[in-house]
Amino acid sequence: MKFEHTGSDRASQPVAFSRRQALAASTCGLGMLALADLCRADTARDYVSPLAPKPPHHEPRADSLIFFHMRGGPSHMETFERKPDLDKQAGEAGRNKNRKIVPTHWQWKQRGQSGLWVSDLLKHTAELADDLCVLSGMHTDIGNHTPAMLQLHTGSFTFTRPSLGAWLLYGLGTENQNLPGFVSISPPLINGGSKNYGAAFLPAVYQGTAIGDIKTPVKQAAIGNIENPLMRRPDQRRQLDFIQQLNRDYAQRDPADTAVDGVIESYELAFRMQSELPSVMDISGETQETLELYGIGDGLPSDNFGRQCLLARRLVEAGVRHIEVCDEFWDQHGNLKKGHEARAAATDKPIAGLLVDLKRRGLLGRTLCLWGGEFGRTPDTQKKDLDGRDHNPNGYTMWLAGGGTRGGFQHGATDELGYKAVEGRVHLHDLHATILHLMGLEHTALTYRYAGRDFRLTDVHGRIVNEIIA
Amino acid sequence: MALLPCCAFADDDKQSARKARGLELFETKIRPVLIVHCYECHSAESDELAGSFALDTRDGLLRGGEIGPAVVPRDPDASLLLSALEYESLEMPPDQKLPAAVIKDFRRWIALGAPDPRRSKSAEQPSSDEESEAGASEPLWSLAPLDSVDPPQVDSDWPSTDIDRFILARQQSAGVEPVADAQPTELLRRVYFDLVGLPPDPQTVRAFLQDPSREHYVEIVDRLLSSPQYGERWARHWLDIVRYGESAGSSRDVLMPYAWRYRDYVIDAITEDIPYHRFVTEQIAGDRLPAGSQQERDRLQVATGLLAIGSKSLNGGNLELDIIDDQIDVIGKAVLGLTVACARCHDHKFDPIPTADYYALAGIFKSTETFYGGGVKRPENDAEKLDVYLTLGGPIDPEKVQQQKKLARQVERLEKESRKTQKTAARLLKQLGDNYQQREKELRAAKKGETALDKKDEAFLRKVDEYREAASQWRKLKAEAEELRAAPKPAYEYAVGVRDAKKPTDAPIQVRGERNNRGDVVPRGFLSCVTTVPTGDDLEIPDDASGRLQLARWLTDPRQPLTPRVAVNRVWQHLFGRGIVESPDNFGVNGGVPTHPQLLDYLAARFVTEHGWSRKALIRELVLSRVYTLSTDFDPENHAVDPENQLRWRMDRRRLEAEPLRDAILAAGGSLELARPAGSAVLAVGEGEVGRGINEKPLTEPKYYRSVYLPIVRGMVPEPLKIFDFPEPSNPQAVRDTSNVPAQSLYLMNSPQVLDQARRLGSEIASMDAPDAARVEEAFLRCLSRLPTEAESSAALQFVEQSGEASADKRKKRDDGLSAWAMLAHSLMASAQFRYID
Repeated sequence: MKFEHTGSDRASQPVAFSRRQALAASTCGLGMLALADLCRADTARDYVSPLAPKPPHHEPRADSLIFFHMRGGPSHMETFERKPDLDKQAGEAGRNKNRKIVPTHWQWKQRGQSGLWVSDLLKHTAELADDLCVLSGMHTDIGNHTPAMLQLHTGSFTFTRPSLGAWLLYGLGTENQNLPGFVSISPPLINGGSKNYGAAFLPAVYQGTAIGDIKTPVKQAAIGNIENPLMRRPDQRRQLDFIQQLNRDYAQRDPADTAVDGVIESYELAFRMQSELPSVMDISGETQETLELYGIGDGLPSDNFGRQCLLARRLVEAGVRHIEVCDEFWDQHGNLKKGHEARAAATDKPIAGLLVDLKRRGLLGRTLCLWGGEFGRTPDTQKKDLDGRDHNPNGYTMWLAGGGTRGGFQHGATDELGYKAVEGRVHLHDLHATILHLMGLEHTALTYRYAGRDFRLTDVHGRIVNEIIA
Repeated sequence: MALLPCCAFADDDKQSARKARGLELFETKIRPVLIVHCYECHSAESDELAGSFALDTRDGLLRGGEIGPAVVPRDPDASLLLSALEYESLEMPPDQKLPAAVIKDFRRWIALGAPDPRRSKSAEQPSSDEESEAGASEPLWSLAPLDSVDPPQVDSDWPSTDIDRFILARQQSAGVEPVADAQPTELLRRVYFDLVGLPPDPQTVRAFLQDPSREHYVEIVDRLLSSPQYGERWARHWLDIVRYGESAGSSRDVLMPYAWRYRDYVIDAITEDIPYHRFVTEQIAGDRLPAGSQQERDRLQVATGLLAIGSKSLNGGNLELDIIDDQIDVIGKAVLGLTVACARCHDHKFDPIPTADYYALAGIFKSTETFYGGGVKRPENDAEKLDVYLTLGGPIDPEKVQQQKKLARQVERLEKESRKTQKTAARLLKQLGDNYQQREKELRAAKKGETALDKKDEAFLRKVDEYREAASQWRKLKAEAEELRAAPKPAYEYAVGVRDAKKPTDAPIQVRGERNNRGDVVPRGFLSCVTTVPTGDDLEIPDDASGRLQLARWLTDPRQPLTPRVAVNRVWQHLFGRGIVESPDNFGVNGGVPTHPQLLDYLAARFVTEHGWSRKALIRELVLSRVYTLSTDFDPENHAVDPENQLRWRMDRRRLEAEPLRDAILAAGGSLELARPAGSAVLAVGEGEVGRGINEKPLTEPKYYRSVYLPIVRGMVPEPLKIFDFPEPSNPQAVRDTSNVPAQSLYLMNSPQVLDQARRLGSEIASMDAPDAARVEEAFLRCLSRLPTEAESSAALQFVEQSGEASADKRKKRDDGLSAWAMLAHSLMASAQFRYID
């Protein structure tokens, strides 16, 4: 029985008519069972997991994607876009007379060979300026956290749509079948929650797997059902052998059906996952030097995010397609200095550490990294103390690194004060198109038919930002 | 991409060469500049159309904006566009003048006649280019009138019903033969899961093995169809396609504590077999139907919950328009099998649904008030709930509502004061210290003994008095508030649903579906592509009504071809695994075509005329057909001709959906509670929002009732459902996925809930006073509803023996672990057969 998804052109390609079926059909029933038995020996070649690696549309520049999700909207004017006019006009009227221009709080320097301006707020990331491809002409459609976050992850803020990671799995599958292909570390429960790593109308296999949540330190996070509370591994293996024997007998009764083969395979995967996932999550074998590189250590503000980043590296090494690491809230309408400092203290060193680690392991070239929030912040405030900024979807900064992007490069800019992207404008749809492009997928060709039409991550939008590709 | 304009008359060569050059120039130099520098403010995509000037169509460019035409073909100097680019009249684009070379291109293009292949998206149809080829030309099969069809004559004694004659006729002409009938245990298990979503119990299996006659089978079918479990099973199918959920989903996942009433309505309506046309009418316009009793009035009101339970983007977006869109979408897909909502922003790309039709329907829902709760503004008390919910139990006295609101304010005030005094008391107590009573006693005694106290001690005693005063005041206020709160008040029963707005009105076309972009007003009405339902008085929408009742009548008119075809197809789908049309919610151009068109029409016509829209009668007819009772046996010859089994030469092997799978695990463990739980776990949580401090315990604690009653919070779908391809509850979903992923295996191998059921079944079996072979039989009966084969039995016994040794070995070290019989039970629950139906 074929429960193929109507018109899911890429996902369903290999299953339609297997070699075994063809063989079986050509024998006119003679010795059917024996033949089926024979053919079943290489079941694995017949049953194709929907998560198995699939050929990309074109030669990819990156194999995996790490997204540093700075929830809440970090200020572009405090990080990667130097706006001297803000200090000159501090306290003057902003967009209207109720709003005042907010000065910047940190020193700025040109960094590395490229001379990119990066503020002292992110002093560790700043050291890697020559690897960053800074997009300062970002813009999106809405300025409320939750819809903006949904748009960041799914391209749409009104409808329930598949997330970027789900599209990547659908388009590319994943290298390591013993691990989930798309992992979201410490995702928020609010702001769209699981929709941000959901599959929506794509088959559920493509949804992300959450490790912990934003409220749980990653040290204590676990993946559900990864361990049997009652059985030792050898007993479980013996039980699995018995179950698989039943399953094989059952599968043999219908040589045309690969679904039960899929069950058999997914048990073996699950059994291996029980060992592999905890061992990937166990960082006790990492050197002290590595832990320090990521800012991991008891009592350090960067301990938790450092662990998230280290876990991300381990997952990339293990062949996981897409990992998102999620930070707390950069949403400082007031207390910007303290708030942004706290967020930087938590994330700056770990992110820089991960980039350094990827580089020295030779992984950065094939790993696309993305940093940013759902939008940026305004140059002005309505508060008196000039220490806060509001939401700004009209212009903000994200950066990419590795994975075929131009390092030490800044693309686009907002106006003199930072209200609006005026140069090198990159809409979120364009960013999505570009990420898919770098991962080997053509955003206009990665479609899935649902409810009578072909859907895309970029809907009817999206432009590949060729300027930023190395 | 080369879009050539249509040119109906013959140009002379020179002219057409100019035009071709101009077009090429347009595509290479002009269009890209317009898109990059101008569309943001001057196109249908703009938030606000600057200067009322759109240049994303040829017409827009020629027509110009507020200050006149932008382009005069062949006269660059008279073209406002050019002088604006040159910063001579207007200064466009405003941020920076374009390079001189670009402006020169524009001059040349205008001089060449400004040829422009772009057409208005709605105004005109291109006459001959490729865009017009989609749709329109060939009439859509699903819209053809529904006529009764006579079953074909076949020369065979295989058919037992007319359905079989349709099936066999197709098979015979294709050269395939039906396989053997299913084994009695297979058929029994199949019909149980299909009709009630539960496995047959061991006694029933044994009895059917004793007497597998057709009479016995019919008797079982009738018993199952009249059980409440039938309604629970089939309600869930409907809930899939009406995107049932108990929270807003999307951006802010605000709970809907009263959505469950709609769920229970559906279950009851299906159990009672309310005819399908009535069932649809109740859900769209229940509030407009006459009711003989208050109870019936309430039931009909709850039915309109269909229109309120959708997912909502509460934070940003066009909430009102989005709700209307959700309502049109769900009715379109669920009832008509058409993706009507595609026409929100443009004429449907494939199906004959113009945007105007969408807004004709939109007017009906714009004239409807939807009550789904407070959204992000949580109602705190009855007074606030009365504003955002519908109430059951009859009309509400407005005076009482006023009293209620007054009372709520009073309670609030008292509580505020009470909190204040509590704080004061706490502060005083802290100052007094823990042992103040001892010191007070001493001081009071000293005072009585007329020893003069010093100032400090006096102050201490005053503070004690102050504290006592505050504490008693606090207790008093608290008691008062509690008393008021507990005061007898009308017990409102809240519901989500709709009613007509006070002032019904037609809706304007919203260009691109955006709220700030209004076009022409369209009178309320229905889809123009359905031509078989003649207009009549009872379809005329009165000025003072929304038109939902007329919409429901139009949808369920016996001449409406889509509604019965779609309904019948869904029933077939749930009994055979796939519909006769494989895209059950898309009967449009892009949907599937029927594998057995005549059978579909035969069933649909019979459904309306013979069965009076009774789903039970239809289901009964289908499960009593011979084709339903076929085995899943493989046949290489048939397979060579028809590998997809489109001709139904055998039954498809099907995977259980998440709900019957979970129910079956609980049933095997003896833990399944068949009684309907009161309300929903979401009601126990109350008003709140996922991730923002709600009490999650009622949602996450283990439950033993049937899966259809599990809380469906959109952002927190229960694990056993989610893992096994439960549909995304924000979107109508007609066909479930059947993925095979390690997460499912891990769940069955390791989940405490599954292990718990295995342990229960294991200990039941272990305590049987019977030989081991009989115990294995019982395990198979409980888990797979059949007896084991000899080979299976001996393999199972061997496994149990080894497990016994292993667990005896382990008991020396640890006392936990599963017993050998529990290991067997667990293995069967985890086996592939457990989750597949043959």
